[in-house]
Amino acid sequence: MPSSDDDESLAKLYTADGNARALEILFRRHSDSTYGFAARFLNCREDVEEATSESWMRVFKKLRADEFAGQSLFRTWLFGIVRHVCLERLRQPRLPTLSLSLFDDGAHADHVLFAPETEPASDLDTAFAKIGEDHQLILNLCDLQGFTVLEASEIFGRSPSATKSLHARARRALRDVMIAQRTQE
Amino acid sequence: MNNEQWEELLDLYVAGDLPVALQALVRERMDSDPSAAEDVRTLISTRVALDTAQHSHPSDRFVERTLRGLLHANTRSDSNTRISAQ
Repeated sequence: MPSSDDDESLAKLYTADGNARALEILFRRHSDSTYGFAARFLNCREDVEEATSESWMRVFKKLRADEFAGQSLFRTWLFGIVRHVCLERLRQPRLPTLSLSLFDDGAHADHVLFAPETEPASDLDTAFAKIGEDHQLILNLCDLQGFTVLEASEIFGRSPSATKSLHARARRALRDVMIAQRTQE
Repeated sequence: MNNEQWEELLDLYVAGDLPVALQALVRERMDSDPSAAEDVRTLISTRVALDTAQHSHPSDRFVERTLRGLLHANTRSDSNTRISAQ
């Protein structure tokens, strides 16, 4: 059993001896937020699930290779990896969409790629999808995932002042799109 | 106060981080400039929308399946640790 259950201690414990309990605690603690973060980038559940799984695979591979230097918080380092995986996935060519209705029952649903989302998008969701990628990312990190601007700047690899400025611009960009949407209604 | 300073002040005000002494400056400008008042109102509204945004959550099935895959691929066979029954 890990002696201390803060993220950084667990990460070090896992690096030291491949501790399964440390892996499980880290994954359970952050699976929800990493999934939610990816869901803001990617358009369908299958993409989000694959990106989340791929991110965690990379996380533990890097931990085993002792690539977590501990100079940042584990969570900051983790989201940097998730961000990278999501951006890679966004740049991949898309496969054609298959409809769930092609199948007789839901038993095959796990094998269907790019099934359409059924939840109606909110005003915020619609506007969010219309702003720039960097704006989406900074709002996702700071406003939705609760990172400070300083932490977000580490994930971005930008200076804190540039990140702060980006955050302010992103909120205004989102605001402007939301206003435009309401005007069109 | 130039535009850049005003925007910086406004960001702090919207975030609730502006010292009380400076809040009067924002309110003063809002009173005298309708466009500034609209700027403040819409930015606060955007912040509220972000604060109350719906989050996507993974299914339990996905979490358990992924955890099994991670444990299979990333833990050592001689580990004497056990997976908890959560």
